[in-house]
Amino acid sequence: MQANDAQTLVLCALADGPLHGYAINAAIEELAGERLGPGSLYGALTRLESKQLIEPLDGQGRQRPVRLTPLGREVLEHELRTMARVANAGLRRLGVNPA
Amino acid sequence: MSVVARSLVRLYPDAFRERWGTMVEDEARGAGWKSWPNLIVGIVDMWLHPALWPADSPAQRQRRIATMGITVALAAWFLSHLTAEQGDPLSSGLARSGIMHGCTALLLLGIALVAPRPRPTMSATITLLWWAVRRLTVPTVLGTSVVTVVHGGIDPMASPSTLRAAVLAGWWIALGLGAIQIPRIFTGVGADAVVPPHAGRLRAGVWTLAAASATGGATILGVSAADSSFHLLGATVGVGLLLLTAVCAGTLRDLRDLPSVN
Repeated sequence: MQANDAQTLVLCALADGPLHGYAINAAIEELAGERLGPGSLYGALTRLESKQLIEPLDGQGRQRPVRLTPLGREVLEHELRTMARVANAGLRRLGVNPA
Repeated sequence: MSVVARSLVRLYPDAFRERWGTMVEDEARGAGWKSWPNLIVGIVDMWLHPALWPADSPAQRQRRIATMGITVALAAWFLSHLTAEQGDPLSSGLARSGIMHGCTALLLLGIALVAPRPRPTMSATITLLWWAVRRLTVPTVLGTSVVTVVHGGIDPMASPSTLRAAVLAGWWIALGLGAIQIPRIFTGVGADAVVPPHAGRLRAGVWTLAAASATGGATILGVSAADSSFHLLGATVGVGLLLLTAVCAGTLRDLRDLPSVN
């Protein structure tokens, strides 16, 4: 996964707790500066569900919230730690002090 | 605008639409026409990855992969047959035709590996036969009619061009319909009548189909492009077979990534 990968962004958006599709995209916009297209967002949700990283909850009306599974939380933490390690190493090599 | 969004969402596979359909529609309506290309890419992506669709059980995912495998095999067979019968840039070389026979053998092996097995019960056999009759009646009647016309003393080659075109069109429509309807038998019968192959056999089957379509595609494309006269039909079929290889490769990656299937 990469930082701007749709699946990573969805997992990050769900890290705080269950959200439905529209709220996930709003969180992604806050995180990455732009919303995902509907095909990308729901394609990512389908992939994550098939990998058992997220699970749907009973919905209200037309919206159906999803949440991270314990495996999803574990995978997200691992990915973010890897990204942080790479980012820190890259910044050090650039001579920039990592925040 | 909402009519277009709703129409596009209807193009998603049923399983996807049942889970996310209303939310995709809301999102697409909110984003407007700028979201349509992304939606179309998403629709194509989902159709190419049946293993990912929302499923009630791992067996349902395996059944979808098996159906996809049979679809790819029949599409590859149809395309190769089309080249052999209509374009035929392969007939001149014994080695080339040997390669194509090898590809056909690989396709048959792939089908044998990925095909769901009927449950050994009378009701499962009856259900399977009922669905086979339901799906294959039209192509069988059409194909039989063409064969009857040709063997009934009418020579399409010596007949007016309209009759010849009608006989040829009837034959290819019958074969094409058959290739489309056979996988639909397996989607129709459901889990009560057939058991999907386990993950290992599925993987072996999809690898075999990938090898068959890659070899066949590369051979037909190479021969069509390298011959003194360029064969457009052959080249198109070759590219089509290589695209089927890409579909198999995507399925193999899905199989590797999905814990529920493995």
